[in-house]
Amino acid sequence: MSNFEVMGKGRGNIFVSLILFLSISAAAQETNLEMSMEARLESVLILNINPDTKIEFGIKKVNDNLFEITKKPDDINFSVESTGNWNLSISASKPYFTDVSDSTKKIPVDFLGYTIENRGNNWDNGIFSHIANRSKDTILPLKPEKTLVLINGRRNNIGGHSRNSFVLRWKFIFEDELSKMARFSNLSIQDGYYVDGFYITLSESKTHYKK
Amino acid sequence: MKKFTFILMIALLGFTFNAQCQTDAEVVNFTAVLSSVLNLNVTGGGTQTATFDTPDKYNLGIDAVGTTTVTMEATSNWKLEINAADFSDGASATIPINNLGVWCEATGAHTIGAEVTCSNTSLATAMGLSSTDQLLLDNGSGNSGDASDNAFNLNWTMGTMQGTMNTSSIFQQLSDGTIANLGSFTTTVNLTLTALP
Repeated sequence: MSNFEVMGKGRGNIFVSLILFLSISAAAQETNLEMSMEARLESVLILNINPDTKIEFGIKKVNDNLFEITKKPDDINFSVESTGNWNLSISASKPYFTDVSDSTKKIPVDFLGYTIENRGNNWDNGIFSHIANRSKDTILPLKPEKTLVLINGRRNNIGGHSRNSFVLRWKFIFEDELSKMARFSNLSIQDGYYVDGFYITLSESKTHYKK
Repeated sequence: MKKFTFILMIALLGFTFNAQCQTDAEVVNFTAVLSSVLNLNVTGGGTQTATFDTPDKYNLGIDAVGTTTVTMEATSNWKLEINAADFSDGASATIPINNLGVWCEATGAHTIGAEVTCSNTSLATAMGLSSTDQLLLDNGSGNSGDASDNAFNLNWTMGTMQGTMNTSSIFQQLSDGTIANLGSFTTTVNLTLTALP
């Protein structure tokens, strides 16, 4: 082995050592650390409404074909907060309104109808918007059976109160539909202050439209 | 004369021997090797969970999910970067990672604005995470030091729409289908400590 070869090997060793040293130095210049993060999205379905709310109205017969409403039923504000799509139904708690001072005086609940006005950011313009509102263009009669009024549309009605805020407005059916007057005139409605409860039933919808 | 010369030589030799015995020196070589040190330690809160179970949390987010405490030991100045992939439910649903935010507090001797810099020092200025590295803490006037110098709280927030976080609420993202379903979603947050030249 010549001196040159020995020198060459020596330089090679130094070079390899230098590379190794630099590699170790470079690797030591960065330290990584991992942490675990978990997000749990749990189901929420809430109806915000005054639980003591009832339907109350006063009526006075002026003549056979004319009634005076002495007390109109109050509008009811409510909102829905839901992590899933939802549907909403309305029903009367009893089939009749009953006079508060004389329980023999009764009026069928379909004497009254209602509309739900949307006040939230979710649109209620039908099945292709967030909500299909069946009372948007028509007054629905109050019934003891559940009537499905609000249904989720293709844009989903998930959201909080700012998106799902509503006003339930009571309407006397005969106000807008003269054809029903004859029927109600046959009910022999008597003067009084009538009350009934009602249910708003909020249920989770199975339909969820993905983006 | 010869006798005198002989005595002189003996005397000189004696002095020489004496002189040699008086100067006995040894050398001790001492080498101090200062190797580069760069350690990142999570001292608490290494696992965090954000639970959305009320309308307010879905609407407004969770201000304080929790705090991760970290320390750095570095012989040189350093920077800390952060990234994470989107949350995943293990199937196809994801939550965009910029719904997760972080902001910093210094609890050691080094303070933000002096030795260390950070742009995210309050909930209002929280950094929304992304899948690529973002600078969280950087060198200010010199941030090398031990764990007592470099101790920080990383405060986590989620769904609060603060700073550079996602501007839509979790409710909104559920509604528009960005988040496809409810459930448990996980991700791994990566912290990278790098020595600065």
